[in-house]
This record gives sequence, C-alpha cells and structure tokens, in this order.
Amino acid sequence: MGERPADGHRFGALSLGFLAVTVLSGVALVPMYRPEDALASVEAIHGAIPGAWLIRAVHAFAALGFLLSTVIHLAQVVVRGDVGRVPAGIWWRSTLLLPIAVAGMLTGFLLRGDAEAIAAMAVGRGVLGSVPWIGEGLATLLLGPPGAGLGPVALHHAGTLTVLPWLLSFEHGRRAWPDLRSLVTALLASIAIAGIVPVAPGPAEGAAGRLLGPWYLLGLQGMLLDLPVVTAWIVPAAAVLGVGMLAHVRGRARTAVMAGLGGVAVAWVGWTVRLLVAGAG
Amino acid sequence: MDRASRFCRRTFLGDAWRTVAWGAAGVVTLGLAGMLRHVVGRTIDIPLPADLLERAGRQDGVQVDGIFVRWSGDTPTAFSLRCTHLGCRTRPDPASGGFACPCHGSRFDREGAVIRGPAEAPLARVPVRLEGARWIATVEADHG
Ligand code: FES
Repeated sequence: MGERPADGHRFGALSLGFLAVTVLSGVALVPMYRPEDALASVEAIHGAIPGAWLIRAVHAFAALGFLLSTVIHLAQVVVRGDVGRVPAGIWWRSTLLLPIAVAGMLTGFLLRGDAEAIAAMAVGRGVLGSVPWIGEGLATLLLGPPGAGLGPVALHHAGTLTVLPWLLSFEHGRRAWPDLRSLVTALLASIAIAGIVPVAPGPAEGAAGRLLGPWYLLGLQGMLLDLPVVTAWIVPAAAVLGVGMLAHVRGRARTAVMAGLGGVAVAWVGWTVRLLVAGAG
Repeated sequence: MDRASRFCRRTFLGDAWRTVAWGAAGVVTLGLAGMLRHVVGRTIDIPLPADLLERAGRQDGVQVDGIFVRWSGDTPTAFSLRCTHLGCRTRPDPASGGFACPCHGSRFDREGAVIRGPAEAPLARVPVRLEGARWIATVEADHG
C-alpha cells in the first residue's frame, strides 16, 4: 500500500481513499444496474437484492467524501500559502478534480432514472446547450443525443469520470493506490453515513410540487428562477477558473479572487434558500 | 537572468502548444459529437390510440408520451409538455386547464402561452395528422 502520507497531505491521501471506495463499490453495482431500465433496477437494489442498498449508499457517500476531502485539501494548500510551490499545470489539473467530482455525483443522480433525475437531465442538456457554438456538441458528448436514454451517461459515469480523477490524483500525489489508513478511514466513514442517511430513488412521476435537483446543485436551480440560463454555466466555470488562478496571483489580487469565490459560495446558499422558499411550482 | 528567461520562454511555449493541442482535440471531439446530433433521428411519430382520443374528448384533454391532446371541434390538437425554459416536463393543471413546470415554476395557459417565466416561449404545438383510421402526432426526439 506504499508509504504513509505526510500530515500536511492527510486530506489529499484521504481523497484517494474515498476515490478507491467509490470505484470498488461502483464495480460491485455494475451487474445490478441496467441503464435501459434504470429506475426498476435501482428499486431492485433497494429492495429485492439483499444488502445491495448498502453498497449503493456507500458508493454515493464515498463520492461525496472524495469531493469534500479534495476541497479541504485544496483549501489547506491555499491557506498555508503552498500554492506557489505546486507547478501551475498540476494546480490547474488538480482544480479540475472539483468539476469532475461534481460531474461524477451528478451523473450518479441522473442514473436513478426517477422523475427528479429525468428533470435534472433535461435541465443539464438545456444548460450545456446554452454554451455558445459548442453547446450542442457538448450536450451530445456528455449526455448522448436526445432520446438516447441513460447509456451514454452510464458510460461516462463508470468510465470517463473514473479514469480522469484517478489520473489527476495520480499526477498530483504520485500514487495510484491509497495508503491502508486512508482506505480504511474512507470505507468506515462511508459505511457509517450510509447506515444513517437513506439514498433511495424517488417515484417515476413526481408528486405535486417542485422537482428538486441534487442538493449540491439546488443553488444552481434557484439561480435559474431569476437569472438567464447562461449564468448556470458561467458562474460555476468562473468559480473553477478562480480556484485555478490562485496559482498565478499574489497579494491583493489573491484576496480579490478569494473574496469572489466566497461571494459565489454565499450566493449559492442564498439561491438554495430562494428555491426552497419559492416552494411548489 | 538570460538563461532563466530562456527557460521560462521554453516552458511557456511548451505549455502553449500543449494547450492548443488539447483545445484542438476538444474542438474536434465536440464537433463530431455535434454531428451525431444530426445523424440520429430528430422527430418521432407517436400513434394516438383511439380510446385515448375518446378520453381526451371527455376529460378536457389527456397526456401521452410527453404530449397533451385535446379536441378542438372534430380535430385533436396537441402540445408538447416540454417546458420551453430548459426542457422539464410540464404538468397539466386541471383547475385552470393550463400547465405548470415543476423545475423553475414557469406557467402556461390552456393555449400554451406563457403566464409566468422564466420560460419565454409558448409550449410547442405538435402537428397531428390522420393516417387511415389513426391519428399520428409527430414530435421532436427530445419533446419531453
Ligand atoms: S424547465 Fe420549466 S421553468 Fe425551467
């Protein structure tokens, strides 16, 4: 399992632990999931197949753990003033882990195939399609052509969004496999949360009222109540660019970028509240 | 200093070439994906079952496969239930005869016109034609 990571890199090592748990539990789910009959197969995972619900819940929470530990690790590097010591290219590619981790979680949400997932798929296609010139190609590349079902999303979820974070983590941390402590910590944390928080899919047809996207994108859904569609990709893209730019700016410029990122985080929470308060359609 | 600046220039040029190469690969990939969008069928024919049309007459409209069918005179008229904001499926509101979107709250009247945004365009009309004894609706592949 290799050497133990230095203390300053504990969360970086933990993120690789969570990634390994996500991938292994995902592999275990593959024989149980059918993209052409998504909701029925997810319902079987939560009912007919003994113990499968736990694997799916571990998969979901390990993915969340991967995102959170990556965020904390990047934040630690920034707070300690170590960004300048990381080669700019590696910092930028590590920054890409954030949207990739979110894309992994979002595609996992879409794969449920319930009413909320179908609505999120439509919104995702609409948002991607609003990117000038490349929008239609981007939507088709990531979600498949309209009417294609969940096959392309499942392929990206299991393939692209597994290989990319692993490659980027490897480049960043120079290790392909987590140390034993990180792996066990990630596994136990995922199992503990999986035992407490349910992750079952919703109904095929939404009940009356608003259909909600995944909790981490409610801010984006709330933003779309009032702002033009293009803001739904401009704001997240600007946030990722802002994190990447931290490798190049110093002093006041860095403070301004950090303030901008803080502003986006606060606005995100505000839009989430706005959506929840707006209530039923 | 001179050596350092040469080194920086070489690094910068290397980075720039790599960025251009990745960008070109990305554009080609996106272009191919965009073409795929035109290769796969863009419209689908949906046969409307006779009993459904009967019910549509009795109940002020019924929905089938993401479209909403209502009789006007002796011809069925149909709307796509696909919200014109970002594509969620709108729900018929029996009280008003209109439609409401569960994603961001757009509302449409019984003719599909926008009552409340963020949607700006009306619900799309779906062409319906009679083929033999069957009514057929022709919809976009991503109609809802
Ligand atoms: S998709 Fe209907 S209001 Fe946004």
